Amino acid sequence: MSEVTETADSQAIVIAILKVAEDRAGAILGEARRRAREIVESAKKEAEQIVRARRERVEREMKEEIARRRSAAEVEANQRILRAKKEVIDNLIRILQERLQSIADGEDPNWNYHEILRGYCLEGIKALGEGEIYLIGREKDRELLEKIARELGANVKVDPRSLPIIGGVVLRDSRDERRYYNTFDGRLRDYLERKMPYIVERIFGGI
Amino acid sequence: MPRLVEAIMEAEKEASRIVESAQEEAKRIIESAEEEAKRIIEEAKKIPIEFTVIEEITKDEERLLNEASKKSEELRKRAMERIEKVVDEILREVIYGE
Repeated sequence: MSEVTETADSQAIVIAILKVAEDRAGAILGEARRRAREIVESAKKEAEQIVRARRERVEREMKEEIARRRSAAEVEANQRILRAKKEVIDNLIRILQERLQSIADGEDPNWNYHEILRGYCLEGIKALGEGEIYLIGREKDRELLEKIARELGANVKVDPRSLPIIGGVVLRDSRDERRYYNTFDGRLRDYLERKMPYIVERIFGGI
Repeated sequence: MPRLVEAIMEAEKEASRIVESAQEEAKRIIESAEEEAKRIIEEAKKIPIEFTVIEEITKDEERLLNEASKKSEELRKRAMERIEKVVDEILREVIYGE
């Protein structure tokens, strides 16, 4: 083999070897780039899922928060109205107590407390029946009660004790075994217990 | 012949170097892609997700409470007017019974 031929052959072989290597390198890089694109695309999809899941969670929490705060606001709104109603009822009770006090103190010319008290005593005597009856009332009503006792008969007396009440009278038998309560305080309490739905309707109905 | 063998050996070495270089480059490409993927996912975990409804909720709450306050005032005013009308009736029923 001549030297020229040998050189040409060797160059062809070298070129072929390098060509194979470069092709393989190209294939390796091509595969790496394809794999890299897959990795990034997959990450983007995962990121979208993460963001979507977070958004859904935040939306869900937000809806719960909206519902909770709205419910709390509705409760507070109802409480404001209930507080206003309670204030009105408390005010009514205070006015009634003041008016009863005024009547018992003889300051209201439209009411005859003497007659009212006499009527209450008669009711009590009728309820307790025969026998000695004692009248118990306010200290400031003692004279009036004594006058009523005299009007009602010898078996009616005034108890030396007094009661811290707005007005009215409590009657007892001689041994204090039976009592008949006919005070303004008790009558008002009883009335309010029985008639509160009616009062509420009269005052707040239609508002 | 010895020069041919030598040339082939040199070419084989160069071929190996080319392939190794490509493999290293491929490794860097994959690593870079993995880092990019990690960054994308971390960013997705941290990206702020906000809604503007808080302001709307507050307005809704204020509206509800303001309405309740107005209604309470109106109720208080009208009820107090009615009280004046029913006090005498109630007093009569308390004192004399129904």
